[in-house]
Amino acid sequence: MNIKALNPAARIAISGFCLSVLMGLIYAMLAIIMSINGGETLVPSLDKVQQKYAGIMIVSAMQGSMYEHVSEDESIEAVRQWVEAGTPESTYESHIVEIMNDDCTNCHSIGSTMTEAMTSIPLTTYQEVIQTTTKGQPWSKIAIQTHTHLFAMSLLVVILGFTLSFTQIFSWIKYLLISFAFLGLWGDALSWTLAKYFAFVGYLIPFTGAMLTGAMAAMAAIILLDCWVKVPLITELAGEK
Amino acid sequence: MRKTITLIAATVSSLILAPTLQAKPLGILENITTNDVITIDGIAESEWNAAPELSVVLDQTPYKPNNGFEGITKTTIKVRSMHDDKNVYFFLQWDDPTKSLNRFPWMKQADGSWKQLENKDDTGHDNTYYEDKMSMLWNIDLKAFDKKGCGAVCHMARNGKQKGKDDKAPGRKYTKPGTTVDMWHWKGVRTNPNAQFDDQFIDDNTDPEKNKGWGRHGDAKTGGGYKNNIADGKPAFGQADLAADTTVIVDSQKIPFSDDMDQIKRIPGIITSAFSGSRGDIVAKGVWKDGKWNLELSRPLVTTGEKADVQDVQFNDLKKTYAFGVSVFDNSQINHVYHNGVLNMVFK
Ligand code: HEC
Repeated sequence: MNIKALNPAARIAISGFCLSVLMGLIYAMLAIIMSINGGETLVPSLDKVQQKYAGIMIVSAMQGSMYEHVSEDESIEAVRQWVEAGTPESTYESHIVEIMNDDCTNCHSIGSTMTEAMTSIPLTTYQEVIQTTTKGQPWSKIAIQTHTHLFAMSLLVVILGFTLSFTQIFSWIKYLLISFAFLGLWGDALSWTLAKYFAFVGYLIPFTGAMLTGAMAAMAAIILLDCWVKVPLITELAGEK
Repeated sequence: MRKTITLIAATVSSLILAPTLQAKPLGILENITTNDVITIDGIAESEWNAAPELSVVLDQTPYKPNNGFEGITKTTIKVRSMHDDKNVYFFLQWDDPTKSLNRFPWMKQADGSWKQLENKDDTGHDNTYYEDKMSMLWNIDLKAFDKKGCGAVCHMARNGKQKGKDDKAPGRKYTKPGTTVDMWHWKGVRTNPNAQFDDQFIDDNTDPEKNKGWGRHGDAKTGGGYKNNIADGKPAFGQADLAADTTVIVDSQKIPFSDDMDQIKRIPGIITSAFSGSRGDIVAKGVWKDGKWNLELSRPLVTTGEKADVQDVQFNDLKKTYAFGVSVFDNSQINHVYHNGVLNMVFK
């Protein structure tokens, strides 16, 4: 059984699917980059990715998208130490409240009238500020993101993998790509949770992500080609079969 | 075990993270040398063509007046600058579709009485019978200004309180203890007829008993200024040549108001004369034409007035970078369009 033996209608359908996957992957990358870089389509630094998944929310914000409002870099360190020390209220009163008032509450207060007012994340009281001191992504987000990612991506990977198994390329490449895709998928999904506890895991996310998307893109491209032509270099010779 | 891993990870991440922080100015203005005579008349002489233009989008406003706001909430200001061995010059141009110079005018009513028109919002500020203005802030020694620009002196009130004190104003300006910021405030009605800016400054005062404008002050002056044209609920002065669109009573030409000024229907709400002393350091002329204000100004590179070192930015080291911010007021007392972040001026 091989794909070229299928009737043209089936091959058109498979090709359409592969093209859709490739296009979807490009836009998925764009979405991820923008969510990390605050709307800019530049490649985010490893640190920014790590911060997004493993950092303390308010500290990541002060280092990232809110950095332009921070008067003194020392304030970021002060907030970090305060959070690491368990957000004591006394330190909030003696140090943190002044930082918030100097740099943040013009926008971050319920009644703010500034153009860029952020009334949904007020930072005017102790209770409000400690809402933003959690590490990593909030559980509510992780729970949704992890299961939808696993369900949706495993379905795509299994369809791609299954179809790939009927192409005429070397078997070892098939095993490699399919395992890579699943390892990347599990790595991604698990690391969102693990990054909350082990900060360094945040640095692995771009690599697990690249493993998954890279493997998917390779499978889609190979299947697409194999539908219509002989995939160069990696196709098994007919005689060897 | 977990603790150790977390510790190592935290150390490693903070080492890697530290150098990623950086502050970038929103824009850089290159100030070039000129050897020509610059006439401050709001019309750009050809010399200005050589000066690089910095274009800044102003799209932030601090508050929403409760009685509506018809002013612009977005505009672009183009800034050019030059200097010679004595003065620094600026040519500013911004879009403002309406020329607004009708500041608290006196209008004669049908019953013969006089009424000073106003339309204040619940913070006590007017955006209807006011004037077009613009402002530049220049850092003197407030560290945060170098990074955040005007945001470093801006403190919005919360729940009607400023620093724990009841305050109707939406926001106040003040600095950190012991520091000042220079504030150049051009006012279309009150200072433009005298070919001046109002040279002001911001300090650390947060006691309204000491100064009702909190950190905002006028520079030291030896004379001149503007005041409300009012006495006993009527205009205090008129002027021999009043026309329907006269925007201001010029102090040197004022004549006492008398009830028989019958043919006049409108009398300006302000009497003005040029500042002398530090407060009048900045010579300026604004001209509105085809939906744009063109504002030309000059100031000595170094000022020498009383307390010039704390009230004025001194351009005494042309190798230094000077931090500033700009904003525009469209017929509004305090609502202004501004930019986040800081602008830098460097001398070429
Ligand atoms: C000029 C207004 C303004 C100022 C000043 C400001 N913020 Fe924000 N902040 C926003 C807006 C708007 C958002 C949502 C969009 C975004 O993320 O850029 C936001 C989002 C956030 C978030 C949500 C997470 C994130 O990164 O998007 C946090 C946390 C935050 N800000 C903290 C701060 C802190 C701490 C300060 C003071 C150092 C501060 N902000 C100063 C306007 C402001």
